[in-house]
Amino acid sequence: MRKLDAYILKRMVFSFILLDLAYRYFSSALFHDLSGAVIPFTSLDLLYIGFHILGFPQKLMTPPLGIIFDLLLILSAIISIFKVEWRWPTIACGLLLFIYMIVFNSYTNHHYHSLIGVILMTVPFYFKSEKSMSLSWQSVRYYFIFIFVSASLWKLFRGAIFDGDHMVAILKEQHLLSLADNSNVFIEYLISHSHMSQLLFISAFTCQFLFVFGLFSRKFDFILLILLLIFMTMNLIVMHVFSFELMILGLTLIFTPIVRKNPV
Amino acid sequence: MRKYITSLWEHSKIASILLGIFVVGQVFLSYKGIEITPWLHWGMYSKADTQKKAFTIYRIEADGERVLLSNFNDLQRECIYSPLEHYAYLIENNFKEPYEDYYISKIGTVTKSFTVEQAIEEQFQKWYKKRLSAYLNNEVKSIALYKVRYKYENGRAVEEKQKLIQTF
Repeated sequence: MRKLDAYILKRMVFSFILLDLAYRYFSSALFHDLSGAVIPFTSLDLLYIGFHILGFPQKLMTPPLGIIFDLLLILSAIISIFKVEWRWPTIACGLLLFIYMIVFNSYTNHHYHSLIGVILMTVPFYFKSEKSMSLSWQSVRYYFIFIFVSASLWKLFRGAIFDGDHMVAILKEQHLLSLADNSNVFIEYLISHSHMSQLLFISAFTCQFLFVFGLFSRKFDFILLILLLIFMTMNLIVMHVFSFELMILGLTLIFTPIVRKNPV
Repeated sequence: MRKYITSLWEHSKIASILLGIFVVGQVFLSYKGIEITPWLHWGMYSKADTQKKAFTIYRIEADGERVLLSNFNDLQRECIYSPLEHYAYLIENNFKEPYEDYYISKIGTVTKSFTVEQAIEEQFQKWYKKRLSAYLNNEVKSIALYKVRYKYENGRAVEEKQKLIQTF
C-alpha cells in the first residue's frame, strides 16, 4: 500500500465530493430543487424515523432553509479542498452529507445507500494526529470490505445463489421500467437464458465474497481493486447501476495517509 | 486484522467499543433480517420472487404525452419515478403507509410525524407538477398516472393491461 500525503488524499476525496455535488446540482437533486416535497418515506429504518421525529427534514424542504443548506454543503466541500489544514469545514461537510442522504432518500422515497461511500471517506480527515487518521482510514477500508462480504453472505444465506431462476427474477424487476420504454437485446437475452444470467449472478457473488481475504491481509488489495472495477463495470452493463459514489472507497485499497511536517 | 484491533484498543477504548457494538449488531440484525439503518444492511438483490408472473409499474403522462424515463439519468429517474410510485401506493391504500401495521403490531401506535395524511394530497400534486415541469423543461398542466401490468414473453416485456389511477 502506497503512503501518500494526507493533504493530497484529502484534496482527492473532496474534489470527488464536489464533482458528485455538481452531478446532483445538474440533475436538480439538491434541496433547493426538491423544496416543497411533502411525502417522506421512512420505511422501517430507525435512523430515518428518528430524523423525522426530530422534524428537521420537513424544515429543510422549505425554500430558504433548503437553499442555505445547499450553499453550506457546497461551500464546506470547496473550503475542504483549498484550506486542507482546516478541519471544521471537513467535519461540517461530512455531517451535511449525512443529513443530505437521509433527507434526500426520504423525499425521493427510495433508500439508496451509495452516498455512504463519500460520507465515510470524509471521516479520516476529521483527525489531526497521524495515528487517529491512519486508524480511521483502516476502519473505512474494513467497512468497505464488509460491504462486499456482507452483500455476498446475504446472497448465500438467503439461498439466492442456489436458485437457478433468481437472476432472471431480479432482471425482470430491475429492467421493466426501461424495457417498457425501449427494447434491449442483451437484457432480453439474459432474461430468456436463465443459465447465463445465473452464471453472472454467481460470478458477482464470487467477486464480492473474495473481498473476505481483505479482512486478513493487505497483500491482496491490488487484486481487490481489480475485482472492484470488474464488479462495478459488470453492474453497470447488466444491472444499469453505477454506484460511483462507492468507488471512492477504493482509495483505501491503494493509499494510506501520512501527515508530513511540511505538507504539499 | 489483529494488529488493527490491538492498535485501535490501545489508541481509543471508545472507538473499540463502538466497533464491538457494530459487529454484534451486524450479526444480530443479519440473523433477524432487519433493516435498521443504511449502515448495516447490504442485502440488496439477495431476495426475489421467482414465481412472479405479472409485473407492475406506473406510467406517467404529462399533458397526454408519455414520459419516457429512459431519457433521464439515474438520479433524475429516481426523483421523477420513486415519489410518484409511493404516492400511487398511498392512493391505493387510503394513505396508509406500508409499515404502519408492523409498527402498530409492535408498539401499538405510529407517530404522526412520519406518517402521511390525505390532506397533503393537493400539496404533493402541486409540488410534483412543478418538479416534472422542471425536468421536462416545459410547463406541465395535467398529469395522468397509470398502473400498468406486464408479463414477459421470451425475455420481452409485453403489456397486459393498464388502469388509470389518477389525473391531476
